[in-house]
Amino acid sequence: MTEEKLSRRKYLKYAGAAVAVGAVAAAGYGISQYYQQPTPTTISPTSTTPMVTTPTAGKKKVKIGGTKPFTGPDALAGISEGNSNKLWTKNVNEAGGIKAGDGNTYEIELILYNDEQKPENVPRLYEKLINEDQVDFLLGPVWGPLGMATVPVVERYKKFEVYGTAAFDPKDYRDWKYIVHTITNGPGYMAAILDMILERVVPNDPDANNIAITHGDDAFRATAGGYGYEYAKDKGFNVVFYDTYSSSVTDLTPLLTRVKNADPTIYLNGGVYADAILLMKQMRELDFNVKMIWAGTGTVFPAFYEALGKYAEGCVTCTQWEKGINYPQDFGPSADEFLNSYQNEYGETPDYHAGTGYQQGLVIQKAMELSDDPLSSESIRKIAGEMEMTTFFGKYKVDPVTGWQIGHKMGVIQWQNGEKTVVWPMEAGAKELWYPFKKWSER
Amino acid sequence: MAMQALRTGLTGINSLTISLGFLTVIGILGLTADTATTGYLHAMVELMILAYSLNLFTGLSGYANFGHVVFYGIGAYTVSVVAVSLASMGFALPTFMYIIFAGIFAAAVALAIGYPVLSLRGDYFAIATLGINEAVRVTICNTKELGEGRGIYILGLVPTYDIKALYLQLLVIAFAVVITSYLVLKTRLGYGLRAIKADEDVAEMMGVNTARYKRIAYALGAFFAGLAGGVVTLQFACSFPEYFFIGRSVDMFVAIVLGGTGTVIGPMIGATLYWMVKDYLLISFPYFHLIIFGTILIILVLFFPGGIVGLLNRFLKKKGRVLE
Amino acid sequence: MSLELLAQTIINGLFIGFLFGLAGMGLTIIFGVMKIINFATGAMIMLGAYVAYWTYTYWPYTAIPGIIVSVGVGFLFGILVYQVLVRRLIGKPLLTTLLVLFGLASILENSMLNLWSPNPRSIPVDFPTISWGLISISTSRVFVSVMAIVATIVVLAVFKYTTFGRIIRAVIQDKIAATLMGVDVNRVYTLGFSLGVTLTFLAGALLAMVYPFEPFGGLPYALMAFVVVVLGTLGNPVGCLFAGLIIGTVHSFVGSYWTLNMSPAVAYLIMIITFLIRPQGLMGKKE
Repeated sequence: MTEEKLSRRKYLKYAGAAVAVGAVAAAGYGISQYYQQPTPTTISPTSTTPMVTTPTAGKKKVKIGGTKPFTGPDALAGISEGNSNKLWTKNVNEAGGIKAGDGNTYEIELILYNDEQKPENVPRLYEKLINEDQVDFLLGPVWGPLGMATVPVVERYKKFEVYGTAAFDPKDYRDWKYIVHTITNGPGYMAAILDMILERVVPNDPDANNIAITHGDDAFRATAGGYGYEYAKDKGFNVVFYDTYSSSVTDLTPLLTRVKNADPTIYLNGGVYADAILLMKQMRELDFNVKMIWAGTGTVFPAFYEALGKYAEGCVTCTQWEKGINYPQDFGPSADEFLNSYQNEYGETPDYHAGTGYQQGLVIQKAMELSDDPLSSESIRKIAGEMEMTTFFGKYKVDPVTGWQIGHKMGVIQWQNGEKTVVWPMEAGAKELWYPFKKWSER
Repeated sequence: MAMQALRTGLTGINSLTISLGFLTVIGILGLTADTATTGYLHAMVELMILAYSLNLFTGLSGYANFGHVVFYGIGAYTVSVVAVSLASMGFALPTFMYIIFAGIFAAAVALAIGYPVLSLRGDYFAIATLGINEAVRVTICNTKELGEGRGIYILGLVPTYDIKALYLQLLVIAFAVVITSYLVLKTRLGYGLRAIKADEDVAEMMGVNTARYKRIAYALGAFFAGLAGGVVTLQFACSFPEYFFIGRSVDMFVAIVLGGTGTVIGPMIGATLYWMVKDYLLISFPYFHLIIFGTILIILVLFFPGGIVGLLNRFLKKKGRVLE
Repeated sequence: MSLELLAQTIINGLFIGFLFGLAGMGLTIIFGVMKIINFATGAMIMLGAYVAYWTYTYWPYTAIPGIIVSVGVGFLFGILVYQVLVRRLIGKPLLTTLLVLFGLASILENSMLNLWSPNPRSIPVDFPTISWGLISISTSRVFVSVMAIVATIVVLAVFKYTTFGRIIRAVIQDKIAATLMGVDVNRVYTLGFSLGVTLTFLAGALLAMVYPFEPFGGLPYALMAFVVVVLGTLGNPVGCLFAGLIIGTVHSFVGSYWTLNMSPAVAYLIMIITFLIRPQGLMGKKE
């Protein structure tokens, strides 16, 4: 009898909780049919609604969609790029919309989802964007593999896509017809720094020809680092050391010890965020001195400087764009206008991911302005393939067939006195280069 | 007793017919509706297959195979490697053959590593499977032929992306895994595994060949996970090391725990519900969804160890029936 | 040249190893006391690192207050987690424990992500480096290693010489008898779990000094902690430290003489071999 009673109490507890869970699930399913909330949002990492903007009535509309990693290893880049996409939308809409080549004005509606940087979310979300949300054009995701994952979907539905910060290995290209790229691809990262060294350092210090190259082993780092190595050899550098490290490694001292033993003058590492900081800290621990150091693309973030303080002074890195790089633009806002706009909206200085995000929008905008069928992916892709322009981000020119970016040039910056200073290319307003890198013991 | 259960099981309304019925409904829905719905259902069915494949082993035997996703990844890479090798020799096969290879190879790997790994108990087994998953991932990241960190790209070697065709392939696999689960459950293998779950030493003493049963179940689970992995490579036209991401394992676990481990209909209910809630959370709360999900997971596991099926059985037991 | 490389490799290995050992310390204690594997170890290490980091931001001269605060917070946090969650896991099947703690890890990591952004952080300490020729020893690493040894000694001392330690050992040996003798097992478990979490936080606080960290960065440490704990016998703190040193040295040698790519794979291989040929670990007795 007591058994019966006990089970009844438990039964009630279970039933009550079951009702709760069932309610949540039912609500979840029900609401999932209505999740398109009409309120525009401000973008901050604590935003709980998806990024959707509402156009006003009376104008024609162009719907642009995409996914970014708001969570995941590249969340820093994803949030930045997404913020910029939103900023572009806002700025253009406030100026009246896109004045397209067919005579109409188009207001932009932007939809961005969080893809968590997981490949399995890509088909679901892109199918949704293309077929359910019915977007006209797509903004590519962040991170190479995700970009690759969008290719089958985009080619199938023949939707124009503007790639953002996603590198790809040129060997994997197979006849994509609907994609254009905004940034210099992975292979160009290390090449930019090597070019800078050739132009500015080697003439004064022939020793600078002796370099060491290492990089992480994931998709982006392997592309940037691997191609960089080939480029270095092609350009006649003496690569005294080359190796890779696993991306899940927590300590680089074993590798650094070997690099130190090879006695390079300059050390280039294809790393990203945490490993760039780790590298610097451990080089100091090992008292491993070089005359110039590239720790990884993470060098470009303020977090790098915050974590390292005075030890970050003199570090160089390549960048797609940076405050201080001044190209004479013929389309879109000037560098200062962009900087101010972003600063006003989000309260911080934009990094190159933000620049990329804005550029994605500018590409669509310019192509639509030149097109007489501005909602057609075919037309836009053709025009985007042939057009040329210079924006604050740099030169835009793609190969009409492959869509690869051939006009854009990367820049090189160096941390000087807590600020990122442009040191290359010279035509973008480069300043003095600090060389050699101060020894650890002298800081 | 087994024969009687089999007989009564095959007739009338029971978990098998409900499961297959549900699959048929969403199958027709996915194939006829617009592709966005297909995409949604496709991901859901994929999770279902993975949940069932995990259930075949972990659900029945109680061994926590935390690294089950390794077979998914192995299946995925098998398709890429086979496609690339055949292409370099100048010919190609129909796509479903690639998928079958994927499943078979995954099962073969499972049998091979099953011998040493399955001799471990409880906690050790769980950690070992985790280690195996990571070890395979790291090895792939270091092997040039396997694409290292970049993955293997096979666009052009497989038919163009067609979500409905992919969905159909998944449906076929789903039917197969549900029926297999039912058969396993109702035959000696299933009873043997459940005996192992209850108390392995006692089962051993009672004459159950525990080692063999475990291996068979492990390989079966690997087979279906491998099939699912094969389909995903066809979907993306490439394989990356990210397929070995441990979060996928968690998805599968939650699905079977939510639905009810070791049952036929459990993984279906669990995967469906879990997927719908997760998708909703992902779209509506891009930053918070994992916090909410973690909380739900904890509540589920602590207060509903039998999952939804366990809950339903409490009602049904009164009526003398049991849902399996 | 070669001799100095060897010396540096060994030194690197020891430094790496002490930290691995410390990362596994909490895990092994919790398992020893209550037979539960803390799958949220990685997230807790990160949390400990963040606490130390934020303390440092307010007291920016030394890292010491950071460590103390982290340890204190860890202890309280451990009690909280035990009372709310872990208490209900005693005696439950492994699957339950695994999922609950994994859920906890998910909550912690994503809360950290939302609160403190994905930026990697590090405590920018200014410890000097001492060099002899090509060999360099970083005093910050020395400090961390010394703390690891101190922590191990403290734990051992607590277990061996204090009343509390004796009670824990009684509970481990024979729970029912201990209960009959009037021991409040629940309270013992609470403190035991807290102790484990405290050590985990300590590992994080020290790690923050020498490595950068970010909300999801706990996974590699947790995986290495597993390897170390298995090798050093679950439940044995000295074994854990010792195993940590072994794994750290292996890491270092693989990285210095072969390639750092394969270090994690080699570590997992060691773990799997341990499972197969000596599942009770280095310090365990065969059952």
